[in-house]
Amino acid sequence: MEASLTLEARLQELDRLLAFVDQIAQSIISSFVLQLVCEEVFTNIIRHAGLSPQQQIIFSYRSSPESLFLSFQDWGRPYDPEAISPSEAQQELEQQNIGGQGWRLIRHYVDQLNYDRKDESNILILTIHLPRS
Amino acid sequence: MKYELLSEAGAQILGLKGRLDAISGPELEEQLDLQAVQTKLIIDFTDLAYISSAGLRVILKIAKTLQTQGKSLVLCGMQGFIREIFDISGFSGILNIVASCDDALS
Amino acid sequence: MLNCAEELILLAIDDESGAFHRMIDVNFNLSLVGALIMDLALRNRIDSDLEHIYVISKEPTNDPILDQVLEMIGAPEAAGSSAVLLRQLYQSLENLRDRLLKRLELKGIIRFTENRVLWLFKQRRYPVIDQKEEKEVLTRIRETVLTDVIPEPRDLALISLINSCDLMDKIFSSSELREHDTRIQLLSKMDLIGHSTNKIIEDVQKMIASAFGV
Repeated sequence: MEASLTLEARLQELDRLLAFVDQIAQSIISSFVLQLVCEEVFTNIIRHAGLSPQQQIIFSYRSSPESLFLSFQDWGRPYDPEAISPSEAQQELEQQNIGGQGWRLIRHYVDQLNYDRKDESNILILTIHLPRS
Repeated sequence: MKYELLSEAGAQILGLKGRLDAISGPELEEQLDLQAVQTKLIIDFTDLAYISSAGLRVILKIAKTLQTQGKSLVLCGMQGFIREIFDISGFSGILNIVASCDDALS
Repeated sequence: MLNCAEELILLAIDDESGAFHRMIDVNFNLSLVGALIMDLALRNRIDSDLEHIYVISKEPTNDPILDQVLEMIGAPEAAGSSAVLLRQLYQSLENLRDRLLKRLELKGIIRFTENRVLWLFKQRRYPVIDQKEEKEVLTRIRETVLTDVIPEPRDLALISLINSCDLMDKIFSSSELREHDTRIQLLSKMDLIGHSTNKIIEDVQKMIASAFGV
C-alpha cells in the first residue's frame, strides 16, 4: 500500500499529519507508534530545517509484507546561524514547544533510518520491520 | 481543551483527556496554575490516549516546579502505551507513578 | 560561571591530595571535549540529531574556549558526522586541560602548582557572581544521584561524562554505587528531552571504547 500527503511547514499541520497516519495504520501497525514516530520527525524537521510556513514537507508511506517505509522530504536548510540569537531560538522553541527531541523514542520503534540529500531536498526514510504493534 | 483542577481528599487532581502532543502540550502548560496545588497534585492519565516527547516535557516541567515548591506529584491511571513511553524515556524511574488512581489518593 | 568542562575538572580533583584522580589521560581529555560540546548544546548554540551536530546560533557565549569550539563546529571544514567532529576537535584543541586549569586559577577558585591543585577556599566553593552563589558541582552531582530530586539536564550530562571517564568511584563510595546502581543507570541513559546531548555522549563513549582511541 502506498500513500502520501503534502504538508505545509507549520506545527499546526501536525493534527492533519497524525489523522492521516491514523487512517493508514489500520491493522498493520499500532496507530499510536506510527503517530508518535511521525510526530517526532515532523516536529524535528520544522525545528531544524529553517523552513518558511509556505514551504512543503511531503510525507510518504509504503508498506510491504515485511516492512513499512515512511519518508519525509523537505527543501530546507539549517537555521541561518547569523540571523538568530540563542534567546530567540529558545523562545521560538518554547513558544512552539516543539518536542522533537524524542530521538530515543524514534530509535526504539524504528529499525532503520536513512538520510539522503537529493536535488536540494532532504529525504529521511524510516524503516519499521513487521510485525510490530 | 480546558484543564481543570479538582480537589479531593486533600489533594488537587488534574484529569488529562485525549492527547498530549506538540500542540496540546503547550496549552496545558499555559493553562495550568500550579499555585492552586496545596501540597499534592495527582495527574490522572486514565482518559489520555496519546503522548509524545512534547507531552513528556510538560509533565517533567510540572514535576520540577512542584518539587521546588515542596509539593508532591503522583501520576496514575496510565494505559499500556502511555506507560511504555514513560519507561522508554526513563521518566518512570524519576517520577512517582502508581497504577491505580485510588491508590494515588490515599 | 563555570562551563561543563571546568566542572568536570573540578570533579576529578582529590580534595585531600590535590592530585588528579587516576584516569586514562586520553579518556579524560575526550570527555573534556565532550563537555564543551554539551555545554554549547545546553546554551542553544548547537543541536544534534541522530547523526550530525550543527550550529543553530553563532552568538558568542563570552567564554573564549566555548566560542573557539563553536567556531570550529561552524567552520566549512568541520565534519558533519558528530563522531568525526569529536575527533577533529580533540586533535585541534591543544593543552585543553591546562587552559581550563589556568582559567579556574584566574577565577580565583584554585591554584595549580607542581601538578597539585589547591582549593583557594577551605571547602569547595564558587566565587559569588551577581550575588548568587551557585551550588558546587560535587554537591549537585551527589544530590542528583543520592536523592530523588528531578535531575537538571546539565547534571545529567555531567553524570554521563563521569561514567565515561571512570570518575564514578571517586565521587561515590562503593556502597553508594551499589545501593543507587539502578538510579545511576537510569540517569546515565536519560533522554534529555529538549537537549540532544545523548548522541555526543555516545560518541565520546565509543571513542573511548575503541581500541585505537584517537
